[in-house]
Amino acid sequence: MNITKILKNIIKKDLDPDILLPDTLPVYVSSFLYMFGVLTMASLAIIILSGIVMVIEGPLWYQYSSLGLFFRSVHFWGAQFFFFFLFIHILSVFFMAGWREGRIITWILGSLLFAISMFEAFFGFLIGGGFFAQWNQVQAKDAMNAIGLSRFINILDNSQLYGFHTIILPIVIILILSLHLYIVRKKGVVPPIEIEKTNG
Amino acid sequence: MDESKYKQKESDLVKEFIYAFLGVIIVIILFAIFFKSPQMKPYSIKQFANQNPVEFAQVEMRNILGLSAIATYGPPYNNSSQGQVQSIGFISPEGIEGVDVPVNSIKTFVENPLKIESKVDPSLSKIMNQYFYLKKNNSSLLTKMENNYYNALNNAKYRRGKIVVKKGVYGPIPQMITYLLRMGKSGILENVLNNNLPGNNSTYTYNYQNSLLFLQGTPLRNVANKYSMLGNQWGILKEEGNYPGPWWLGIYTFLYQIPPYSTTASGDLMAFATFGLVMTLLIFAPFIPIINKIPYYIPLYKVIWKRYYERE
Repeated sequence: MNITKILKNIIKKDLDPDILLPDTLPVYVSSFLYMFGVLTMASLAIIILSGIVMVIEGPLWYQYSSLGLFFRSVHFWGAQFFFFFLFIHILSVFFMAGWREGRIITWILGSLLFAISMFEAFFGFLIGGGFFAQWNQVQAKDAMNAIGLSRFINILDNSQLYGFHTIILPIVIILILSLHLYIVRKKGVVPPIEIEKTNG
Repeated sequence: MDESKYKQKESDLVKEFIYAFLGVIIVIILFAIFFKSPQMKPYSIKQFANQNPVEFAQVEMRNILGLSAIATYGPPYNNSSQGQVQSIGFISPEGIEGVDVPVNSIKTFVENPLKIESKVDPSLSKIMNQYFYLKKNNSSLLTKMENNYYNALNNAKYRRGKIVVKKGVYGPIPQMITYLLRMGKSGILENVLNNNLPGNNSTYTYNYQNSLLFLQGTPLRNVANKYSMLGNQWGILKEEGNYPGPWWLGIYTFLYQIPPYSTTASGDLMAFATFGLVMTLLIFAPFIPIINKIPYYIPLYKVIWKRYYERE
């Protein structure tokens, strides 16, 4: 068994640029609703970029520096837009019954991303350093304790929250998102419902 | 790729992403410049002690008497008999977890801070010696003194930097509270509390658990109430001022507004379980009868693909 060869074949077969970056799309991809997936990703890119700057400067920077406050505000509004676009994306894919014809995994990964993103963003709110963070940390600990996660994560320990928000959950999100996008490209955009019926 | 059986049109995904990115970043930067982001400072023990000295004394007395929010919490902090261990039927993750973040309200919030303070103020050492002597040799008298003082605080006044109560048998308790109040007002109590956590020390502090636990209950609740941020006021969705909070948790927060979630002691566990169920329904929607037929019952797809249908 030649692992190098196997890997080479996988890359050749599954990472084909014609699949990953097609330069044509089916004509039915014509509604403005198709934009919301890419808009969600664009917001995520902005969140990640502003987040990287904030991590480089450290969690105190945005409490006193006006430039820090600017990046914090970009990060804050980025999250607001991210969820706005994401909600429309999920709803439109749902009403297209986007899981048809072998796209169930794409749907499952997408919904999973939605669920993880909710935690990720909430943890971000909890390390904001303001009264909202303080009050909701104290409130949220009751829920975390009630579901028995106190050993796993002490929500009153900011260093743990910071690690989850800036490293662990972003890595999970980026990995699942990559897989989600890869399958979207591999399976193609879901065809219109009635066409599917007439074509059998 | 089954989409290839349909007519194709030229597209440029990368350009589309770049345009989307530029468009979104311009809008977000404008929002960031004009609206900024929430900046309300956290509430400190120092503020609490300066603004409400008598209430501060009451919180500390409740810590001593085992009546405070943290003293009566139960797992994961302690085994208080008044603690609520949340459960659904016989399932109780909190009960299984047990006490894994131990907090003893007297030691953490009263005795340890005073022990540290007594190192720099020898007159406090004498008071503490008297306290520990009573605790060891005549705990019933000490408890009586503590209860006397706690009750006397109901009619206490704060005059010229001192808590004034009617005369009574209080032993070392009023002086201990005076020292704690002084530490609270100066701002050092917060650091002393957090330094006392495993791993934290006077050089590095990463965990703020104890100062947050000190303020939980009435001190933070009163501030939150002022801004309508309590749990049963949709609090988690409300940022300071007019800023949007994490509105995407709306379904979860909604549960806290309605019975049985809003009335049962196991509300947190039940709300989380229900929310988990809703998320599971979403994730597995393609497999769930009725839910997977909704797009056909409400045929919005006809609008979405209208142009395509007309052309065909």
